[in-house]
Amino acid sequence: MLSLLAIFLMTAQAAVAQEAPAKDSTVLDLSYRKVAKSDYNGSVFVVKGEDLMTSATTFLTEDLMGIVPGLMLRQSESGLESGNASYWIRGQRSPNNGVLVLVDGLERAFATLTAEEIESIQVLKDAAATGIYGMRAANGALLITTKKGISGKPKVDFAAQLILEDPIDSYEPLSSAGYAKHYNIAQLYDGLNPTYSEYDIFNYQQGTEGYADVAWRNKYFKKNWLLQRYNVNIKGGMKNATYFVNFGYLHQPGMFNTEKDLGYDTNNNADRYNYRSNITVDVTSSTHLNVDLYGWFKRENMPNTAATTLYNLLCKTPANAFPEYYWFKEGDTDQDGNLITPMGDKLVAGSTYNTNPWAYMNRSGYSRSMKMYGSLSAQLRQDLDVITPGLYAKLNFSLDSQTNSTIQRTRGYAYYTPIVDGLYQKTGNDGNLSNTVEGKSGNRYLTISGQIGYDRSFGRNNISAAASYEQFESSADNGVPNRYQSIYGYASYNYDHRYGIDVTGIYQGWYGFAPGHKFGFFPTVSAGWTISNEKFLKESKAINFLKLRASYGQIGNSRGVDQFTYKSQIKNVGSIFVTAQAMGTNLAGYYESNIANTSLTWENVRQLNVGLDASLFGDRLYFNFDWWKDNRDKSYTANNRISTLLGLNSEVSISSNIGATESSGWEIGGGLRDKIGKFGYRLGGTFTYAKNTLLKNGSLDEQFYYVSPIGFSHGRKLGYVVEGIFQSYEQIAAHATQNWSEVKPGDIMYKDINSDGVIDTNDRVPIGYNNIPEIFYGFNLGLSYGPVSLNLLFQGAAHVSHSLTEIDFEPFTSYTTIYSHQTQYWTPETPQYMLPRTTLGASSANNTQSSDLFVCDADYLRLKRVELAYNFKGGSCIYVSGYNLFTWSDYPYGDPEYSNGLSNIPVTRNISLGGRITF
Amino acid sequence: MKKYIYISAISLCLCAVSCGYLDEEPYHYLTEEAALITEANYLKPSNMAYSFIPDGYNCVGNAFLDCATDDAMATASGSNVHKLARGNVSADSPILNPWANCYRGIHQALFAQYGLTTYKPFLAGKTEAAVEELLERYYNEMNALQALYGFILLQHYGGFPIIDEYMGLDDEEALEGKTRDTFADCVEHIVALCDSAANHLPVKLANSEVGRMTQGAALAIKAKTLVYAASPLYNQEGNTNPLIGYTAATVPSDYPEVTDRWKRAAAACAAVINLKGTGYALVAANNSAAFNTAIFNANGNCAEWIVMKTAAKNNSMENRHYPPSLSKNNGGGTVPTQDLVNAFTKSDGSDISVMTDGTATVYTGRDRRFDAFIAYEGCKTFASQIYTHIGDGATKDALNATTDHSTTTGYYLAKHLSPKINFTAASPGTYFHIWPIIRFSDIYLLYAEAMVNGYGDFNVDPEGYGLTALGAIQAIRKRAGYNASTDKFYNGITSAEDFMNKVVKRERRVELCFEGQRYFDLRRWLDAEEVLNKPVHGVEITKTGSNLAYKYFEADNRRTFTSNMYFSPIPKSVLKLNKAIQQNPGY
Repeated sequence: MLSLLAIFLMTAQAAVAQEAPAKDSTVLDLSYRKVAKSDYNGSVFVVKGEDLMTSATTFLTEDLMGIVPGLMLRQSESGLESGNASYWIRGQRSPNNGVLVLVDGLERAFATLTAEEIESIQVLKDAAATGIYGMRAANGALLITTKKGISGKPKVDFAAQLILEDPIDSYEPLSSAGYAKHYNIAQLYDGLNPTYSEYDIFNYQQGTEGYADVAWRNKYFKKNWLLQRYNVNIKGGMKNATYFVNFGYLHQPGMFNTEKDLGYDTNNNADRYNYRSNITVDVTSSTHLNVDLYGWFKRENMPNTAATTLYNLLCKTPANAFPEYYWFKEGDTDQDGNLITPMGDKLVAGSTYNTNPWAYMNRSGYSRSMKMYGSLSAQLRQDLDVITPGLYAKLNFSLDSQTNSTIQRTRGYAYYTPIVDGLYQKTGNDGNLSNTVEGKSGNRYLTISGQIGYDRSFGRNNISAAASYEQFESSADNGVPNRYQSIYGYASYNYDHRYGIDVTGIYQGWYGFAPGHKFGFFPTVSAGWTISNEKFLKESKAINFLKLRASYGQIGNSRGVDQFTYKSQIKNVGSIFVTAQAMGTNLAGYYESNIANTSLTWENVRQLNVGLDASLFGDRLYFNFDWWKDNRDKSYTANNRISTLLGLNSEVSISSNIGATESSGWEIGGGLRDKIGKFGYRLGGTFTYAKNTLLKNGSLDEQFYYVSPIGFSHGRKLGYVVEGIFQSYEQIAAHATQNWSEVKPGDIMYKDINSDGVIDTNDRVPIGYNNIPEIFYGFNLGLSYGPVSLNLLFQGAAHVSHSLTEIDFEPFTSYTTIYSHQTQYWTPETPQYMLPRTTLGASSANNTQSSDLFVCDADYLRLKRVELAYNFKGGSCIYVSGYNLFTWSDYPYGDPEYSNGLSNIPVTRNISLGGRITF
Repeated sequence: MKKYIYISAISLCLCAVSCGYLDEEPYHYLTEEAALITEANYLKPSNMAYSFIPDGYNCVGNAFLDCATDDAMATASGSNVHKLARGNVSADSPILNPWANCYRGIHQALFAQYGLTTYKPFLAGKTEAAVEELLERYYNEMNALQALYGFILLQHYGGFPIIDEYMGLDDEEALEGKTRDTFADCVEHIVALCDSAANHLPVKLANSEVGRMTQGAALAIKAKTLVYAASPLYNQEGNTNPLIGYTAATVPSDYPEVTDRWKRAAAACAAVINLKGTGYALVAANNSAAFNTAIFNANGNCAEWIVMKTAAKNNSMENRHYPPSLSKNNGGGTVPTQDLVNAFTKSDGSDISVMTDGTATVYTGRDRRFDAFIAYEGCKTFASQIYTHIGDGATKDALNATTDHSTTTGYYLAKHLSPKINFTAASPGTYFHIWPIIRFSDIYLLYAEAMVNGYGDFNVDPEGYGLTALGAIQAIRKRAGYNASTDKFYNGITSAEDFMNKVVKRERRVELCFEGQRYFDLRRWLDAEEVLNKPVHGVEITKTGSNLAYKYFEADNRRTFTSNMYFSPIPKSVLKLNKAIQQNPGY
């Protein structure tokens, strides 16, 4: 890191003589205050909307990877419905994660916004920045502001983009011949006779008729698909009013090769429409009104009820399970002698062991989900200079509403197994399409707030302060609305843009806490010294900006707390006790489903942040560095320390405010930029390190420290150390006893950590890392020559691991197929392989224990984004861009970010072509 | 002027701040009071308390506990019961682990009692006094249930921490320092609960309430507890650990000698036996099939039942234990050993000849219960004959024909199973399977044991209970087809010791096989180390043409019972939390 900095410095010094780029004059638009970034003492990073507009992605979260110091992301699925990446600010600092997202000051989802409507994304990291949100933002916050109009002629911006998505498939199922070969081996070592003869295997290889060999996934899951994205907006304004109007459309085609002649579509295509209208009006010279309308509508089609189920079936169905269908011949009969009347000319093939993926896709109907989100927010600002100059009052009102519903038009189908030619065993019946509406749900959000503020400068003294009241509620279809009520404010004093001090405070309550524990007061303080504004540096050419800042705050975290668990609750269980003559009556029972936790409250958070911002050598070299520490106690977490003597029902789980975590870390973001004639370059990088230590939770005390999670980081994995595979019964007899199941040669041999001759829970040790990385970084290179620009972004993560699921290493479970990576299992002929012996029976408990064999480091480095653009005068451009183009990783089972077995649509590699016309 | 308008407008806005915005309570929560005050619901907590009664059909790893004794084996190689049978038991992996379930039952019973005493339900058409009487009754049902859960804890662990108060999370800390109460105190605690219950409960319930605790149940739990308390395991000379039995200091002053404790137990058993005629009886069984139809598959109002786990009709037992040829999911399950087969006497009461290779086991002309409890080569117990032989014409039911399902001993289970379930039919049919916890013949056998040990003679009745030890055994064997005057079972029995060791123990083994009793009986008699360290046996019958050749083999030669296993280990998870709770010796 240091040597890199040295190179930067050397290169930068050589460039000093050149013309200086424009100085950073960013103004932070915090929801309660606007302030010049250079005067602000908290830790905030700003991403501009225009940096996101050419990326080859469909979600804004994907665009933030590696460009924000302190922000970590992981994308493990794709598709319009669930491709959104997960994200954490400064890692996992609490059992209860979750970042507050405010769009124009109000809690809203942001992934569905389009890049074109975004002015900026501000990432709030320390207590000074997030403290004013009280218990809602202890894990950081994202503040998104949308564009407003500007006075002047209407300006039209039209953007069109094509995105080619290519799924990064993680597993390679074997063909029928391969399947049969390994199936025979499994049977051999189970002591059974092989099902498949050499002749069968030969026929599978030859593709003989009657020997099914269907490459389900490769045949029916597309190699790639093309998304289309269009966006148009107009902004402008007159003297007293401005407007910004935006309309976006996104189309995702289906990912599967479905039949076209069904009369309906079973593919998972989706459309999304976005709209926005932001209007500002100066009602009088001192009264300003702002009305924003925003919403989207999303329509998604699904095979049967879920595309993920289909993908899963395509991946796991053995190639030789059955063909897709048999051709119907006139006179075909079923086992009862009835003539068969199929739908079309195909008879669905099938067996009791596997669902036929082709039939799931083409014969079981479809579903269509519709989601609609609409919001209205209005803000009225009254300048009160008549009372005293600098005084103002603001009123905010916003109402958001989302409704979801899914229409299921699914049907049952008959499937056939041939008995002899023309005679089939028929199972089930063809049904009609149903027409049921499922998953009707909705949410409403209502926020009302008022603020009185004061902003004024007296010579070199700059004063700014405000006091606010806010109430926020979100209500789902049933239950009591989730409510917060707050009084908050800040005061800021700054002398000559050199010395500044800010305080914030909030008195806030959440409805779900116990009476007497609902409200808390959360203060923060921060200070900054802008050294570059001191006289002795004012004239410096080398140091253009240098600021030292620090903050400390005591805030809270209400996330993850189960509302109302301060109350006891009773639950009815039907049919719990059989009585009466002939045991004919089944009586219902009541048990205490919740035991009152009368001290239910928030997690206490104390955060310290020290930062340094610098811009050097004519603003060519710049960086900001933050070091932080975060201490939490009273974390709400599962309490397994409730004595069994209390006799709580097994259905009851208790969580209480008993956890504690200590975390610390640092992050740096910086770069080098310059322009030499027509040639411009930009080199930049971000590096984030966040480490946490669990100090307390509700787990039981352990005899050995390494078994307990205490003292290790959150998400620490616990497992056995694999010594190898047992090669013989003698070896088993000589080894420490392993008690899960009868141990045979080919089973996993575990290390006896505590040397007591028995492998038990005390022999488990911490293995690997959390699945939220501790290290997250990115570096980018930008080059421009005249109108041509090229940007490359590399992004990586380290100190991260994933636990493999059984599908990763165990073939043939529940009639699934075998994948190429599963073939290296132990047999007496292949004693060198590290996967345990394979079996068709119930998997051996000995071989499914959590161990270091099944935890893999998932460090990676990716060429995340590439963008090549030609820029016309006036803002128009054309570009090609790529996403996830290359990956370097030792992760052995597919994509390192993709860690969910086969239950999701895998992440994609994208290539995009786009253009923008502005006039 | 304008100034004031603004100021008042702002003040007005601030005043509009709603108070009580966060005070809304969850209206969909069912609160105690709302739940427990109505006639429809006030008994639900006590109903729930019954749900924790364990059934023994799949006591350990889908097998009967009897698979850990010399009576049976589990066919499934992965069953946890093998670990128990082979002495693979530790605090980390206790195998037998009723701890949490018993305390759940106790808590639920206490919660029900709290409800019954806190909220007075409105019961239509009942006078104040009638309501009080009902509440009193249900309150005492919960006492009897607590006694049952206490007994199960005592049976497994010895002394246990007595919980007799309804507690919430706020009381949790008080539990942290809790220690185990002494064996002696636990016995008296159970007895006191039973006495209170017996005084307030009806002798036997009307048909509509069968399955609930009765006076008979309370007295039976007490009787069984006292027989345990008098048994050798808990009365070892020189014992200084009050948790696992009596010590010099904890012997009850009213019953200073072991014989006094046996006499106390005899009196308690007699109290149950003398309920005879009030709805309890040894149910007649005139042929083998009747044992299952009249007792184990009978509905819960059978006179034999005193304490039981009730259940709706089902066929899951048959599915699990039928021979594979008759089962839906391949059957097998728990299979009897040759050793148990040998324990049944012939129909004249004499023993069958000792098994040697080449000699057939005689299956005909045996105790009436033999055919009722055990299925063997060629038996006609089920819908079709079953064959366990290997060689010519071997079926799926043959010895070791399929892993995990076919018999590993040459026998199949018949007890508890209805022969009439037909899994090939569209609706296979269902039958009752009521798990016996204490039934009338158990009490007879306990009585015989207590009398002979208390009074040193098997043919006396000094207290005038109306029955001698011998009389009790004869009553049981009468039902099995034996005439007291011709039964050779008692030949050569002269001493009380012989009667206990050769008559009572063997009769108990046969009558109560596959009822989860023998494992604990062998423990409390201090016989387990002698009996459970020996291999168990099976028979291999080979058919050639029509000739059957018999060979006997060790079906499991890894049977192990170490001295620490006389008490079950307290699960490690319990000790991690309640550090003051003492572990049993040897774990």
